[in-house]
Amino acid sequence: MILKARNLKKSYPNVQVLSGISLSVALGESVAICGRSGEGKTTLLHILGTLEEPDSGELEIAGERLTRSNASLLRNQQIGFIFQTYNLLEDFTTLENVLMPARIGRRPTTRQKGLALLALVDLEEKADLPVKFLSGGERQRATIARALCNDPNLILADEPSGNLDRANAKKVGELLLSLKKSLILVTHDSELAALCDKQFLLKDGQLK
Amino acid sequence: MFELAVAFKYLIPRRKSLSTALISFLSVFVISLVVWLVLVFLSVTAGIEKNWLNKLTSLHAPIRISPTDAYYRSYYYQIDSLAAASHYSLKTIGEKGESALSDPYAADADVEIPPLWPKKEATDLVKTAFHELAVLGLTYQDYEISSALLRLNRPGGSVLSQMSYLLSYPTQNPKFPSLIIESEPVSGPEIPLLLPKSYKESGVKIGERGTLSYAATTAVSSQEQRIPVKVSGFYDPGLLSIGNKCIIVPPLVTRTIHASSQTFSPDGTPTNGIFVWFEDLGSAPSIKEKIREKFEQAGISPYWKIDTYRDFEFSKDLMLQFQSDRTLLLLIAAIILLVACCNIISLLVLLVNDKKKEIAILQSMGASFRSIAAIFGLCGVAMGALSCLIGGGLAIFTLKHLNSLVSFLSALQGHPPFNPAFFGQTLPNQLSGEAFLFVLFMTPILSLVAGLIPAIQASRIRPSSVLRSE
Repeated sequence: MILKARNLKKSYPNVQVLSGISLSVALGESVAICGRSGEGKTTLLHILGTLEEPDSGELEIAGERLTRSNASLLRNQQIGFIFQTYNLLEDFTTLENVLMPARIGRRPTTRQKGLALLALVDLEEKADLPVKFLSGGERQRATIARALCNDPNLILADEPSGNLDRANAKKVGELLLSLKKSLILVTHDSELAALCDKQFLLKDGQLK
Repeated sequence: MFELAVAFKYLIPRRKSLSTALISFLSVFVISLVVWLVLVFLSVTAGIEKNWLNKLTSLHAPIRISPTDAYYRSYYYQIDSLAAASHYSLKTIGEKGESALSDPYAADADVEIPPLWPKKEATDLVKTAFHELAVLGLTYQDYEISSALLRLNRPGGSVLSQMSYLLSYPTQNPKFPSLIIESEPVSGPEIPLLLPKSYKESGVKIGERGTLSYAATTAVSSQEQRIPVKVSGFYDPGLLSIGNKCIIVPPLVTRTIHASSQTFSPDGTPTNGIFVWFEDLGSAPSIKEKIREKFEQAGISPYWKIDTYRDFEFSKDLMLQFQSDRTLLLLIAAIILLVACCNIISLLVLLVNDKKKEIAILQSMGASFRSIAAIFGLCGVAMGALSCLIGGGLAIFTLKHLNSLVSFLSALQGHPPFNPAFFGQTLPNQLSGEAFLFVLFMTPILSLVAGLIPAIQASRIRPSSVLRSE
């Protein structure tokens, strides 16, 4: 198992968002999480991605139990994030953005490696462009390349096609599912969700 | 190191973050200005202090070795008063050094030594001291100070009288030739003497004759003795408090007077001792320590007191004042730098707020709290280092053109802005190494300290809440 979550609970003032979520994801398995807006999908994804701490419950990633001290290291080595709003670093070029996780992890970063990652998403020719010159679809593909930089075992994608037109959304979905990585996908797109190995509905703080 | 790369990216001014760029520019400008001011001010004051030190030690020496009470009570010193070979008179250090006899006492010819007389020392205290100084490779010479009344016969029959201190001619002093303003060899039976420059300013000329009068005590009376003298030149006494009354004479004169009467020096300088010269004033404490060790090994350390120029009676207060001034200036400079570096806090707090989303993105890629803090700490250090470079460059430029600046100020005011009596003819324009090191270390350190608050603020950003709000 690349990820094991047991009895995760999270509440905000006056709102119980997650009330005892347990989830296991095997290596190479893809999981889709659907649900209405405000049900806590993003909160769950952030907790699974170690960006947020649960109120209670346990989380294990790649066999390692999550603590405060190993969170950033696990995030860097085992997880790749893909956000709906891309979240690229505007001051840097496409190539610099793609190689950033490796630089953060103090790993060797060569132009060759960056170009190979960009080639996966068909963006080599935009390598030296500041990301502000990329279109929405290109930005999302750059985000996918960045998520793959440290060759993580787990990809967490939050509405990856939410801001894209139908053609680009399909392209991104296909790309994500072709990565042969464990994938947790939060989406409203039922077509995309159907392509995953497992589908869950988050409702009333529970996965169904 | 990705922290450094990110920090530099953040510091590059961008049109979309104009307010940050403006504050960044202002911060660098203010710190550069302070660095420039501190460097120029400390360099000039350090230069002035150095000039004063040179003047203070030019007639004397950086190290002075004087006999202690133990020396004057010793058999070695006292025995001359009992020995016929010494004409029953106490001898100066110079005479002791030149004498072939370490112990002039002859048991069969001289009077019996009193029972409570000190025990004879194992070594010749003066010759051993000279030997140890020579072994250390130092330039040294004994000196003598006496006093006498100078009477100069002026043209027109008038007489110029001045009670004066006589210093034996320091032939070994490497700086002494540069102190001589005017000098001519004089012939005749009179003793040549060098007068302080104030005599020249009063109209005294080379070749003028006169006498040095002193009192010689005999068994029944005190008689005035006169030594005929002739002016052979003038010298600059520097900043010595008794400088204008200090006449340079051959050792023969000081020894003659010393043999008949004792003198005390009003500025506290021992009237007999050894001067030690060397080039670097800063090495005085270490050389003093070496001499002390050598004297200790030779067993003569109880008989000699070793002082550096910082301990000299006439300069001690001035030295202490210099030290206090320097400490105070450095403290003020540090406070001004700290205030200037506080600008960095406001800039970086603004930058952290501006870059919240990017911080959260970096955290989502695995950047640790420490890395995020380091990015903003480095921003502070980089700004400090840049300001240091700009301020340092400006300071070097200003010091190079300091005389032009002073001329400009003179023209503006209509009179010289700095009194040459205190500051010299030109202001010192050498960059002070101490000031440079102070600024080089203090500015980045203070900038780093100033960057700590925003750095901690940045590291506390919760990525989840920032990314969610997007």
